[in-house]
Amino acid sequence: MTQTPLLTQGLRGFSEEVVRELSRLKEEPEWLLERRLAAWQSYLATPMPTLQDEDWRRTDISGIPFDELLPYSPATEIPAALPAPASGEVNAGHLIQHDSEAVSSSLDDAAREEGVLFGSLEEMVRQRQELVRPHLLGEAFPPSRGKFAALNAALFSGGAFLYVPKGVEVSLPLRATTWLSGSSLALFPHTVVVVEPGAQVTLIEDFGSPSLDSPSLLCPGVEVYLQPSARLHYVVIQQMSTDVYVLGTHRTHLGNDSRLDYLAVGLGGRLTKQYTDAMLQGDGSSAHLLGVVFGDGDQHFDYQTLQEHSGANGTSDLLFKIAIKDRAMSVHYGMVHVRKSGRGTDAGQTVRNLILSDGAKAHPILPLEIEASDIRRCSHAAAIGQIDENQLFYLQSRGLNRPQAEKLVVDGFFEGVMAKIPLSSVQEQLRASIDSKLPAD
Amino acid sequence: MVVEKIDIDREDYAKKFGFHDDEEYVFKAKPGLSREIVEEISWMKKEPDWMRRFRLKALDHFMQRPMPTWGGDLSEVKFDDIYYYLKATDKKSENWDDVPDYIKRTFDKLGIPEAEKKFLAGVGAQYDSEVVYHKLREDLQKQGVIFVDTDTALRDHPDIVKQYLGTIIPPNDNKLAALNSAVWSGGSFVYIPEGVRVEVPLQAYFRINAERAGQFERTLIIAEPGSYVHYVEGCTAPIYTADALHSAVVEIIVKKGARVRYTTIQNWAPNVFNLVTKRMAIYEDAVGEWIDGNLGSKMTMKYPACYLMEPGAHGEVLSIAFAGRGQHLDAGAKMIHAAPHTSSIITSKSIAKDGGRTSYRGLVKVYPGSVDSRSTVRCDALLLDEESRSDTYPYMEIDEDRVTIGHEATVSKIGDEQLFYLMSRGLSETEAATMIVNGFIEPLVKVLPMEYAVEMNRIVQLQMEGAVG
Repeated sequence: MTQTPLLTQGLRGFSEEVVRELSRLKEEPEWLLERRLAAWQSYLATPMPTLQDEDWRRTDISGIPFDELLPYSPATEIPAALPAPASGEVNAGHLIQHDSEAVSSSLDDAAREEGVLFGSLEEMVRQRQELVRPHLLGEAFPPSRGKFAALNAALFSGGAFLYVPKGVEVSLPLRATTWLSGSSLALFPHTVVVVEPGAQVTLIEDFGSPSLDSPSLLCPGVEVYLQPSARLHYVVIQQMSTDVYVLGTHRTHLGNDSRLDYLAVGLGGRLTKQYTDAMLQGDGSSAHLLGVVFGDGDQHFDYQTLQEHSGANGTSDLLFKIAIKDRAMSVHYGMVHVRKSGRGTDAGQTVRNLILSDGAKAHPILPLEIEASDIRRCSHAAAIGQIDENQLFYLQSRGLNRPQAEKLVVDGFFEGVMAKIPLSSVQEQLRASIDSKLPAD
Repeated sequence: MVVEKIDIDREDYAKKFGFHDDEEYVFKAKPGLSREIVEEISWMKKEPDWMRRFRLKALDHFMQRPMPTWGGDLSEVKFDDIYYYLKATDKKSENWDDVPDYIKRTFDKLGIPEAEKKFLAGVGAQYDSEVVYHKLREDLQKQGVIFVDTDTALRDHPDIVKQYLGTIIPPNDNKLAALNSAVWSGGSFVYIPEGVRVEVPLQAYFRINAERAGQFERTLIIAEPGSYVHYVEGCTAPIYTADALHSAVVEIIVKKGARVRYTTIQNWAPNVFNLVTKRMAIYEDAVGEWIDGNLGSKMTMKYPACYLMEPGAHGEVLSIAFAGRGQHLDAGAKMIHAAPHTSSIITSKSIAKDGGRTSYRGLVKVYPGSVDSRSTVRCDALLLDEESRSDTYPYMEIDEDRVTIGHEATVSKIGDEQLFYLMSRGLSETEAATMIVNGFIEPLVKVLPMEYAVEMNRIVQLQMEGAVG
């Protein structure tokens, strides 16, 4: 391995030199360095968001100590603290990343024989450059999407590459786990998913960390290419400790008649700003976005979703269930944008907020922009409320105490969406995480 | 008939309201805005010194603040070319015969005096910068109701004006409110004493006549405890090639147990920028309602607000926008819940046709401690063809847990199935489409005074001719 003075001497903060060294360290081809550098330029050219920017009016990132963060820190061991997968969990493959690098990966033989590729992105750049090059930092992930999309593109390390060839259906879910254990560390996992015509696959990405001594940053990027009639079920679970800031960008390009089922689970982190873009470019494509968010303490969640219809006869819907407690705050900015070419669009959005404490705040904002099109229908609904006292009264009359009754109502609030998580072992673990935010004594 | 003025057929508009009088002004300020112009306006009006200083301070705010970059494109507003003050006559009259003939002819054409006889308790008419006619029924005068133009109010009731003006919308609230505060002229001042109920509407009629005119009326309505008033305003202007600017400020105070309904039928010519700030402060168990119909103008940015200040306050906004060719109507509502047990309803209905663009932009804000607040927001948009555009920007800032807030919106195209069904029952395509649109705006028509409601339906019929197919 080439010596990399800057990266190994514990240099903090981000710079073009760091981008170049990272690329050199990973022995990357020239085209990839060029893409990283272009992204770096875009990062520099984009001003740091402030509360004056429309997208960031309700999310204050001035507390993130960008200059004190390590841009790269590899670990070689499977993290001991990583919660073991539930016994009996059946998956088609599992990639584990610890801090900045992948440390293990598996893929079952059946999938491998059908030509499925799944593993660390870095590995795939080396082995299957011809498949990676057309997509990595490609048209679905323009650095112009935002300052932190550009930062992820410039400094990415780790993340998965998943490729499913034409017509192949992978029945079991694939999992990619990222564990952050370094304090003052910035992680930039980048995942690329390519699903060829008629193929189907499920990918679950989960992110976690132990309690840290000083704040770290998780800045993930995901770019997805769904070719005609492809289907992807994608689940992202964020359970970082409350020392971690999360600034993520997920973007999916949908081809003709393709389908995305997306579920975001947000339970952890100090502050989360997550962009999720479904770009319905192909005719007849459909995107179904679900979210489960539960904030407590001083947590801040800001999910910004985009359902962009440029193809004809597309369908999209969104259901986010957000519970907030203590002094937590939730922002949901959900945009439906129908371009001129998006004729026959049917788009909907529903955001439900459950406010559990005085001091918790919910700011749902659901704009619709409909540009001149023969649309079928666009609609959205937001509801904000507290726990229904009648429900609590009923449960208490059946012998539960108030915290137990509240817990039951919150579980019920999330249950419809939780049931859509493909792995029951993951479902169980998330139910436990939610319950841990609701002491029932 | 007065209702003629709410006609929204753009072809027809030129014939009915697009005329203009020769400009015979007793005073016309130079175009553009400066400290001198503001001083001049204040001097012409022989105002007290506090008002002169209020204007100059507001001018500073206007100069310092950046132009809003959201909503409509304001870069087209030529602030330097606008005439900020135009005075057509020296006289203000309570007798229609005293109004100068050419102005009288204008308002006769628009049907104002007829309407007064028929169904209004009081009428005001503003021509460019100044109010030329104001009249209130005698029985209401005797009960202590005041309905005069705001300049007269400043002269005759300076204490009340000084107590309230600028308290609901301070001059530094936003750039356009600052502009209005600097150059305001005309508008209505309405004072309803405790317990007095004005059962028939008061109406003000606003007319821009000159090319590149700016109209900056300032309206102040004070409803004392237990009182009731319904105020209706209408607006038209001639069609010129250069754009005009209308930027009003409307402040309303609804005290304990009172009720105020404010109805606007905005039908400006398609070369008027309409940038208006409207706000009500609603106190204990009081009700404030905005009925906001936007049919005309090149661009409208207007978001009537209800500040629910004390327990039991209730606010409603019913917003209707109908945008045709070349129009961008960015309308909406704001509901600010600042006290417990407050409730609000926003209903927005918008229709876009022939490449027009409608936007709903709204805010529901619930401050901590406003327990048991309830708010319902319902926005529906109807696109009549493929060239038109509709946007919805509903903001919600809920900082209290014991609340019930709901929001729903839909955007749809006029349904082929609905059309097919109605046509199978023997209606022509235009009749069927008209019926669907009429059904869509039904909530507005229901709350309009009868004379407006009948006319509204007729207008939609006119507007819809040849709309489909």
